[in-house]
Amino acid sequence: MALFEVKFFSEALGMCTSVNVILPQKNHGIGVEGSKGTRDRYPVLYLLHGASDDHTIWLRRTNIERYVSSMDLAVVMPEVLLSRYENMLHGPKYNDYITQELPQVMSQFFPISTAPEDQFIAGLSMGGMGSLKIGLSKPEQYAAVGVFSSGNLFYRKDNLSTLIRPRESGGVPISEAIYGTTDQSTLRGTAWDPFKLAEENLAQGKKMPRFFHVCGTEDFLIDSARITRDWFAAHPQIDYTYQEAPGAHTWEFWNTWVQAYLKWLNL
Amino acid sequence: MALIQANFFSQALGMERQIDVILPQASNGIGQGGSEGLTDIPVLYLLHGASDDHTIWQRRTSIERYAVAKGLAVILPSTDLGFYTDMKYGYDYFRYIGEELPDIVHEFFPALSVKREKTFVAGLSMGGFGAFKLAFAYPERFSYAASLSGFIDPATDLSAMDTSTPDHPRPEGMFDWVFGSADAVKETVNDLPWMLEEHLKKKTVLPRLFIACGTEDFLYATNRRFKDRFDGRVDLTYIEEPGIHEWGFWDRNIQRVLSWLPLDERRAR
Repeated sequence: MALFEVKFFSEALGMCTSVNVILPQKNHGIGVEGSKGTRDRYPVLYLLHGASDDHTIWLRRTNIERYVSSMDLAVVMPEVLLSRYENMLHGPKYNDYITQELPQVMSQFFPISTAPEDQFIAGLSMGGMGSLKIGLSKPEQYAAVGVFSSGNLFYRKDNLSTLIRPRESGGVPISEAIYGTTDQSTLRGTAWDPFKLAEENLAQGKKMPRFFHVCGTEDFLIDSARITRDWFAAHPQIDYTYQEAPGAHTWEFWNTWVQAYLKWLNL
Repeated sequence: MALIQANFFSQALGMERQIDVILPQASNGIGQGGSEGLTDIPVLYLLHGASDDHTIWQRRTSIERYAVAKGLAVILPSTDLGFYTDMKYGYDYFRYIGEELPDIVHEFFPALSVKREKTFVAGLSMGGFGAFKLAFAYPERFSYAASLSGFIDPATDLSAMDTSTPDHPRPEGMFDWVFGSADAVKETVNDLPWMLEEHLKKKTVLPRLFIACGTEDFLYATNRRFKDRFDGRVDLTYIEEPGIHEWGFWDRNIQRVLSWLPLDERRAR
């Protein structure tokens, strides 16, 4: 495998941003396999970080490069700060960046496919909701989605206050900058809501990607995960796999389950 | 432009190596135009000198800014102290940079041109040697080659220069590790004047050549001698001006090299 740290100007964001990219390589060092070299352009996993992290975190906290080394799969790891992978009301358009510009830029720079059957997206926590939303709202662009330790976070039994980080400056909280509100329960059924967007897409007969969803039983987001599971149960036309396992919101959990997701992709 | 730090396994060296890659983009943020034509992009292989590595051109010049204006991609490899040579004691850097690296670049960056008329090489000091060595070893691959303050005649200069100086610190015995001896350089791919004479005999289609050297540089006599010997016999652009072996000179003259290259300025906007 080869690892690339890419710094480039994003037109969607209006600024320079960083992406880490893992590419299969025909030659290889000790202890890993090389690419079979049968593809002109590689299928690609867009692997999303959680709130507090950046484009380097999957490399630092898991062995993702090793896990994909025998798969002939490229991995693209972008950074979105705390934006929830959304087109922020008061901030850059991260959804456009991730779903439109980044795949185009990656195929411009690297031998990476843009064919829908070659597009995979997965993430943890904030990145899990990002993957869920992107998969449900742009279903025809992706083949398979992974959601780790997350769900549709607009749906929780409590008042969502644990998801709102106060700012010492007294400035507008990030969720208000993104959505225009700090009360995310008010976003249910709006154009922000992945379930609402999915139902519109299903009504139009659009083909949905496969979904792989996992959450730890000790995770503070288990509520949202189970509500999301129940929503999928009510929409059995979508190919959906749900699992719970002992664990909390930790890298041990994600290191385990990203490997299960890669195996489930069955490439 | 995009800046890409690449980490990969080199079969020729038997180990992981890094290169930096500067790639044109359609737009580039404030203060910098973008590039048109993002396929078949012209490529400059840009080589560092002894004591430096693949990051040095970016740190000591504004190579990214100069390349943006030309719609040019830049590949920045490292040879450590290996002189772009299959070292006697050490590593096969010439196989790596001369044979493997173009394949690696093509494997990972399909937008870059593989055409001779769009493939160039340049370097400073040890990298000037490397640039001409690549150009003479693979004249079918490179159409333009530039040497700045280049160590371009090791067969003649090796013995006199195998000592560390305050201006140019280097480990004692470095040339032994790389070449073995001055005699071992003669009439080999490392003997650049000899290689050029051989090509002239065979009437090889040669790259256009560019030499710049400061008149106070410790390699001035070497470069002047090369010019006097080959001027009029090859397509050589020669610049000398006051200057020593330092980055102000290389920053100024790499810009002249980029102006000399056959780049379509309409690619940049």
